Amino acid sequence: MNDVLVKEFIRKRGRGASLSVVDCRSVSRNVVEALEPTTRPRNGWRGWQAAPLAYYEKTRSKALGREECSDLPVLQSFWTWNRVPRADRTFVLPGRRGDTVINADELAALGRSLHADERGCVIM
Amino acid sequence: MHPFLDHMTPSSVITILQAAGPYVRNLNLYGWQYLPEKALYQSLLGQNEGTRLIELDLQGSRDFDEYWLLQLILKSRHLRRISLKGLTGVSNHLVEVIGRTCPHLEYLDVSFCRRISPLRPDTFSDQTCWRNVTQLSIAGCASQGILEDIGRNMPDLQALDVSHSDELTDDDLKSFVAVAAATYEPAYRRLELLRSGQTIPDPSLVFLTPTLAGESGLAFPGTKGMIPRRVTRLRKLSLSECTQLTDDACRYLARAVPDLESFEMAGIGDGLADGGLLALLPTCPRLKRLDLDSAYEITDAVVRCLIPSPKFDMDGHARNSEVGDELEMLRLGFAITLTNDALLALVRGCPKLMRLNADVRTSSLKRLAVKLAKLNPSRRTLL
Repeated sequence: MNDVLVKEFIRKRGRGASLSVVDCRSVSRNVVEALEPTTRPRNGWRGWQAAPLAYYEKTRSKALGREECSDLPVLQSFWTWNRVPRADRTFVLPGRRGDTVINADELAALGRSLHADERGCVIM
Repeated sequence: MHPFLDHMTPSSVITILQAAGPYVRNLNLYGWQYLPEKALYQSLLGQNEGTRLIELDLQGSRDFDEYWLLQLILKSRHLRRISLKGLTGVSNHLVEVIGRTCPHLEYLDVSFCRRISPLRPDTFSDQTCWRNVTQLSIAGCASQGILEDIGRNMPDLQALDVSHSDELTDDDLKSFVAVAAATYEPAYRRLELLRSGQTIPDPSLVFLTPTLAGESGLAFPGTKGMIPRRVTRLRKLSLSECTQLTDDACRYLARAVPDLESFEMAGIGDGLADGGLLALLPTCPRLKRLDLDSAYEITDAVVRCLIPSPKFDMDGHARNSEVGDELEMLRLGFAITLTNDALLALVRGCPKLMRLNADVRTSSLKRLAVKLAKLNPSRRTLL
């Protein structure tokens, strides 16, 4: 499994594809970095059940990481593994009187609490 | 009913059920850990003689009390889909009770239930109660001899999961596709009539030569050395992590699973060689998902047999569908003997291949280390 194969697969299959070459010695850093703008490091999905996994989605104009929830091809390798953001990273919620800094669990709890005061059946 | 509503307690679920319980048909409590068993049973039953449940999913409540589980099953004769994955209250007796009580059963999942690992071989031996089952999952619980009954008594089975069962051997797969003498002898005699066009072929039976079948024809008198095989309707088969299996199991399945769409045989290690896979894979033209993780003895031949030939021949005629036409997902983790050329040809040749997993992770480093220790010193490097 080497660079040529990785490039060929990503280029040919395009959106919706998923390739995992974790720990393959013949895949070099160059090809992974060359494909960086057109691939995503994890197969992220939107939904409040995915909150603990903290898939990054670009919502503000300032990009803080790589987009993980689009339909770009997924390329998983040793080099992208290194660069997946840590699970204990902090999120910044901007506020009028200063920013609040919380972690992923708190973010998930915040998401759940937003639905907490709905009466009756919760529509999923 | 969503299990991740952690601001909703089981008692509030019961309150809802007490009002509407006897009318509930589909109950999915997947993920709920602590359920009040008696209250649940009483609210589902109400004043009636039986519940109206068609679908029941209790996966996640590991310690669901055995007595109340039995009572619930006994009163739910209309059940079609049952999932009791991981429940410790599931015993052999309960599985037999399910068979006797629910004649319309289509989906049964009792995988990873600690007490029935392994199941008694005669669990599915009753010929009438399991007829309608189309999906069965006994992962972690399959025992020797159980596949023979499953093959005989569940003719419409489309999805079978017997993964993670260390007791399963190749002979079990052989008995899964075996045919009784009372069936194959008249069928073989009809073959003679077939040649003169006097009758139509039986789709559920096929006769193979000894080379194709992987066994000798001596055990089957009356067929002039041909081996009868049952053609199953399986679409999904999982044999992952069954450590005693080898590629002979695949050889027994050749021509017996023409509708196969998903085949998983991960984690087998060095027992899985090319031969059986080369016999099986070309006979499954509808294959969409193939999982051969940790198969570090397979070579390029397996990869090349997955590549379909060009769709149109020189005269412009389209060929029949071949394996690789539908292939969408392929996992070849730790298949270190494969070369780039073969994989490149695969990527170019399979039009629908979207998910390819060719990494170097393995599920059992321990087995790999044992194998490495046995290699002679000049061959000690692996990567």
